[in-house]
Amino acid sequence: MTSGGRKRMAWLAAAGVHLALVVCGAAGITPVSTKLAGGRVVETYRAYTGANNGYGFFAPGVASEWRATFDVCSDERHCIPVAREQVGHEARLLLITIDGLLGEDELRDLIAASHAARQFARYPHAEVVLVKAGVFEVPAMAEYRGGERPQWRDLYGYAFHRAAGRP
Amino acid sequence: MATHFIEPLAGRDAGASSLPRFLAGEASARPLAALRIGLAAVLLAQAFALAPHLFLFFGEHGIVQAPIANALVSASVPRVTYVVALLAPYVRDERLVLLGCFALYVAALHLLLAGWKTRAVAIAAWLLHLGLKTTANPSAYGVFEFATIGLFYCAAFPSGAAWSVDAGSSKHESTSFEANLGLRVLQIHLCIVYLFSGIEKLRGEQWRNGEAIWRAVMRPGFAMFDLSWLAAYPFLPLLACWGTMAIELGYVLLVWPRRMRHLWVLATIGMHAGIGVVLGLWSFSAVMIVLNAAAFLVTPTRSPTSRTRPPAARG
Repeated sequence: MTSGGRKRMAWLAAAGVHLALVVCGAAGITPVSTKLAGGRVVETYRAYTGANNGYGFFAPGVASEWRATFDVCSDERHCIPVAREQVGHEARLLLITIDGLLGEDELRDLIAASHAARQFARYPHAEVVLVKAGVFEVPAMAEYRGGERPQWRDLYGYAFHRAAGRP
Repeated sequence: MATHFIEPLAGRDAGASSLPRFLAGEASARPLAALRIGLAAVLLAQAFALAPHLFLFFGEHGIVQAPIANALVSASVPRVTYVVALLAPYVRDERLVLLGCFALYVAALHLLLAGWKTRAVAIAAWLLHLGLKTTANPSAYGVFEFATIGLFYCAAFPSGAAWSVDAGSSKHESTSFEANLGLRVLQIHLCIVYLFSGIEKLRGEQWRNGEAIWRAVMRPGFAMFDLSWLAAYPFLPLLACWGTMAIELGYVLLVWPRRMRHLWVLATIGMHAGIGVVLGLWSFSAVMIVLNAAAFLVTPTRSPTSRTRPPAARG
């Protein structure tokens, strides 16, 4: 085989391995254990190239939309609801993605705390920030025809206090 | 199997003559150039849309602070916080570093669009995109993932060998093995995407009974129009659900025969255009349309006599 032929074979082999990793990502399979050094290299390659993606857009079901709402309080009895940052359409999609993490049990507390930190920065006089995580419940079409309507329902609430001496 | 379906690509090399021409032929880089130009244009539009909110999503003190965002992604993936740490002795304000990275990203996308020093610029755009995406990981949705994939292919394959400053105004369009392979990888990748997406949907009861489309259009964050009237005509969401699954599951088979290719790709593009209009996911839809158009609608030229690329065309 000529050197050109070998080069082409190498390209083809690399493409084959890459596409195999794409299939693994799509199927949710970790091809090599990350406990192994080789596995960590493969995971890094997958992360860099996007070969680790799954492709279940809105599948197997369309998840409910989550949102965070905030009250800032100068003390425990004086609270006012505050609006979120006004953003453009594309940025709103990013906000929705962040709020979607409130639906994940292991991340909800972290995201709520992060939201609270942001509100403390926006409102330097706030002593307490209340964060409510709510979900938008959409009735099935038959239920909608029967008179039910979609609505927001707050499922989780957090109260974050400004640490003493912290700005 | 592919050689029976696919328009054969001319140009075989002695060393690769035993391989199917589907993979080992030579083609011009037009489809990859279309990917490069389309992707850069969409990502530039997205970058300008996000620029006013840069610190909100990408800043260390944004909505999701850096320690939390960093904890969600492997440490081996680049991010702006690494550059901040690297430049800490020289630049105290992390916002300046973020602005610098973003400016470089936008500049790289402009150069990628033009196809100037394409390989180097594509690598820069890919890594900068990856770094920004990782930094804002909790807010990154589908468009970021497909942009990573597309930019990687622009960097790995000769996307600058056609319709670019690098290629110049040469009347003889070069063909190459790498350009053909890049096209094939992109095509197969899209087939994998739609096949798995279709299978996942088919598994879901919401997709089988039509509720998925109903729930999607009723989500307040996505709803561009009031489509609550669909509840009175449940066969419409049902039809849309099954139509979506048919397009996605059929893609892997029906995008290859020449007679069906345009019909199927146009149906797929129509589906993404619909998602863009109805759900407001315009940048995601635009990236998917670019990927599809580049992979299957832009026909590469085939010239068996043109085996090598002029130095100026190497992208």
